[in-house]
Amino acid sequence: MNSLKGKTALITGSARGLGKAIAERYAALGADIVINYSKDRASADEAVSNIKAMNVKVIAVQADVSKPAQIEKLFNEAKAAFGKIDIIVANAGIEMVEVPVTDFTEEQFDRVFSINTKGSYFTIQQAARHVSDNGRIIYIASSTTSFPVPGMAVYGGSKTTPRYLVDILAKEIGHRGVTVNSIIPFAVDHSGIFADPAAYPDLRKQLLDSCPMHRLAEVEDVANVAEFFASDLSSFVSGQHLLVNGAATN
Amino acid sequence: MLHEKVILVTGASRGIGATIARALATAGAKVIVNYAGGKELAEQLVTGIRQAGGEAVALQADVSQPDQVKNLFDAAIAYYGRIDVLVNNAGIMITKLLKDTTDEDFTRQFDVNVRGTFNTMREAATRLADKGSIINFSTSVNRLMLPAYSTYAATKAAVEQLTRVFAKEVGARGINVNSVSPGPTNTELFTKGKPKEVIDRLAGLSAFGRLGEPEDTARVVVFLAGDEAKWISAQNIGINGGMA
Repeated sequence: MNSLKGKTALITGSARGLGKAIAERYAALGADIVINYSKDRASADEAVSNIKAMNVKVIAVQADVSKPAQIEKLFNEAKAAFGKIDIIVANAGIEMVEVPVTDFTEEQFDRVFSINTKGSYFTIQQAARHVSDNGRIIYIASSTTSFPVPGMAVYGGSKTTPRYLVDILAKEIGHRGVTVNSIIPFAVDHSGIFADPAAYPDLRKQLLDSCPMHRLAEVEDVANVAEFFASDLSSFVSGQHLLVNGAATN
Repeated sequence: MLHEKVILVTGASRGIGATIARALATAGAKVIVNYAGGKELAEQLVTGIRQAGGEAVALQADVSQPDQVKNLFDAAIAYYGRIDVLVNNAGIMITKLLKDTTDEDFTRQFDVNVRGTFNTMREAATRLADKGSIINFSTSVNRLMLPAYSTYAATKAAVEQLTRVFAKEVGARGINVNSVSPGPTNTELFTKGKPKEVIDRLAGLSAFGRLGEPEDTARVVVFLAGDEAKWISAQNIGINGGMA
């Protein structure tokens, strides 16, 4: 069992879904937690009370990651509460699928890129400024950045760009013993666009057929890998991009 | 963490393989220490693991020989009842400019590194336990294009491709197959005969400014051998301190 006792972890977009699963995993391993949410205060409060029950310290901070000033505020409040930040997970993002290249609008482009790309860039910038020596920076990408899927041009593009930042920052910050890596999850079941089991039946079938294990990812599959990248097991693993997709080809 | 898992580590009598065997045993696995020629070292390693309260057995086999690999699986399964995890660590590295590489250099590296991995995976296809794991060894050198590593890097590129395709073939049995790519690592195999400035230059390519230690790789193998890594398959993980 890996221990994160004495560490502080900040996870963006952690009121629900994957971000929440990662926050709860880190809390279960003993880390103090900074929950971040944009609008869903009720879910953030629920995450906080789950985590409090694990006997670690936790705060929830509202911040819209598409606004760099709010990300700065998020990090400052985390620092004020815990004095340091050891693990940062740039997880906040929105999905947009089944929109062909011929159809996406400037408005859709700006919204997806402002949250996924600009949000991750400035979260990772704040992380680079604030992370403790020997800390961890983890970017949550998407498997469509490795296996392009029709209809995901804007979403996949927005998730691809921060992978490059991971490569650069790993080299810039390695001298402090900090690792910087991407987790590239396959479509996650019971979460995000697949929260409703009946949603996107064609896409679900296409994804299932592409996977030898014939299932989508569960949030726990991704939390397992987030645990690895936060733990001592990965202390010399940096600048890497790890697909978590059960050997799927899509 | 790896309680009750039976793990076969090829080429485990020394270097990174020996460190992996120790780390897996410390994490609770029963370890089969395979060796080709280093009988004494393998037995010392097993004794050390047992003295520390772990479980291990040493079994000889040259992985480049299909019959010996078959016998290795027979003996391992006879001893521990099954094999859950296969760590294809056995490998050799000959660094020469391509123009100086002999036919024998070429054949030896492909026999051990590629044929050896092929032989053990072919056995594992039907004889590894359901929900098992396979961890193959590539190298970060095949991302760096260093002179004198052409044949070695070519063998490891082949290992990565075997990994990616085999993962699709055995996924239905719940087996995940991955490879790791250590960078230059502080073992005798790597440092022997190299001038200090060459070692320092290679260490300087890492963002951390140091060589990898065998433990850096062993920790990642411990992770990949566990159930927590089950959804990772057909992947390659660089262990090189941000070098590549």
